Amino acid sequence: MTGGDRLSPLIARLDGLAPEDPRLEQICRGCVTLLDVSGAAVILMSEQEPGALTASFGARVAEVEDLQFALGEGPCLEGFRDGAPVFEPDLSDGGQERWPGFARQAIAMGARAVFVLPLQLGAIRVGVLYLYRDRPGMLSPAQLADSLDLAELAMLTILELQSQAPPGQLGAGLEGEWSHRAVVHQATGVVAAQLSTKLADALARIRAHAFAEDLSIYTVAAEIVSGRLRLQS
Amino acid sequence: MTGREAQLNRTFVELADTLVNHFDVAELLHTLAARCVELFEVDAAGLMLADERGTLRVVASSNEETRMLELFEIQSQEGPCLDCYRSGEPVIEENLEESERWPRFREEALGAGFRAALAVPMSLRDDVIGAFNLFRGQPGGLEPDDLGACRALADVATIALIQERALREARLMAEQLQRALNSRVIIEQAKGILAGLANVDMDSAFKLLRSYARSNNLLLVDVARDLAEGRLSPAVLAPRGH
Repeated sequence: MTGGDRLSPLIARLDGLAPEDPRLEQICRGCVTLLDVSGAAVILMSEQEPGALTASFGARVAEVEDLQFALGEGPCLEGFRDGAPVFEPDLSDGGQERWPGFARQAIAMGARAVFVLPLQLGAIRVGVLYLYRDRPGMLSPAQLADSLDLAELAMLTILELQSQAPPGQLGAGLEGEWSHRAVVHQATGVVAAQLSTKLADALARIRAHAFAEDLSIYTVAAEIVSGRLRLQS
Repeated sequence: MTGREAQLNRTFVELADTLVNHFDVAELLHTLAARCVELFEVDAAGLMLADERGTLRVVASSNEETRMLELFEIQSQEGPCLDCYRSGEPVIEENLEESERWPRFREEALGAGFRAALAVPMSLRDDVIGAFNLFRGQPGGLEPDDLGACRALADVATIALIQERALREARLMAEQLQRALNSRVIIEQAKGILAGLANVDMDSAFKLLRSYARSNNLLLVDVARDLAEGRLSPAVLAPRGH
């Protein structure tokens, strides 16, 4: 596949860091080592899927990523939607305006700077590489160049894994931590049926309810699915 | 710079453009066949590319006679293009009338009015993906510089085609990935819709989806999508709910 030769020195470095790990895990670990970030994650996304964490390395990276799913806003969603990198070197400054809900909670979890690189090849896009730092500050030019290579390698790895999958299924190693999300999608269906709304509106209603009641989206979804909570139209 | 050099340069620029822009493979190949006739002292040109199984196919020709001749070459399994594809090296026959190579091809080529035939490989390292076929109405070959330029053209075209194949493959994989990601979300949403309307739990909702899909010989995910997008009424799947 294209780019393979150019990226071989990077692959050798990653193999040196964690020879036994699957490639996507290696890439996340490599981000933390080479880019001096606190955490990194490879997140697959699609029109229906606001973000499925496939591989990660570093403290609390999954929690910070999950915030965006819960809130429906944040740098990963923006980077994927626009197909352009998102750099926010100080969440407490510019980040507050861009994503008020996300910035507040991400800072509370210890993130101070976030960087998102779309995983794409031309117009083809499959997700994002998400990076965060526990202190403010932009990536250096050398780190920026490395981050683009890491994102390219992640993209090529994902396509390679997917090329071995049976039709209609996700490639082995791409499933990610997903089962906890199912309840939110089920609740979305329940609310759409009960209120005769579109699915996207139903999910927005669930998010809004969780936000207003200061509850986790998973708690609200579980209440809806069990029938203990019925959102009003 | 001579007019011909300028023309050659323009052709390379044209090719380089296709490396960075989205391009139509069929159009690129027809342009190349036409450029060969303009640039080199040949009267006709054609391109053959190997398919996934390594079988050569005629993909572009500067005229209909050439296309017929190339088709004949593939059918009779002998000729300069086939030798070139197998060896990865240029094949040059400056005088078909005096040659004893490829008896069936030779006769057909002479009948079409050609007296000389050349083939130049389209290859990248060890990977041969096809060949240029050049035909002359008079005996003779190409000047060494022209042969070099023709090989360079074939090399650049090869890179463009290999890149395009890789991109097409990548696009296909990305689409399959997106569909698989969407599917698992949509199935959960569809379970929720059924559960919400029929007042059943998620396991029962899943069973309703699955049995409807089976009895109608449909894929589970297609039923789920129709339900999620409102093309299928939940009432059709669910017993009377609340």
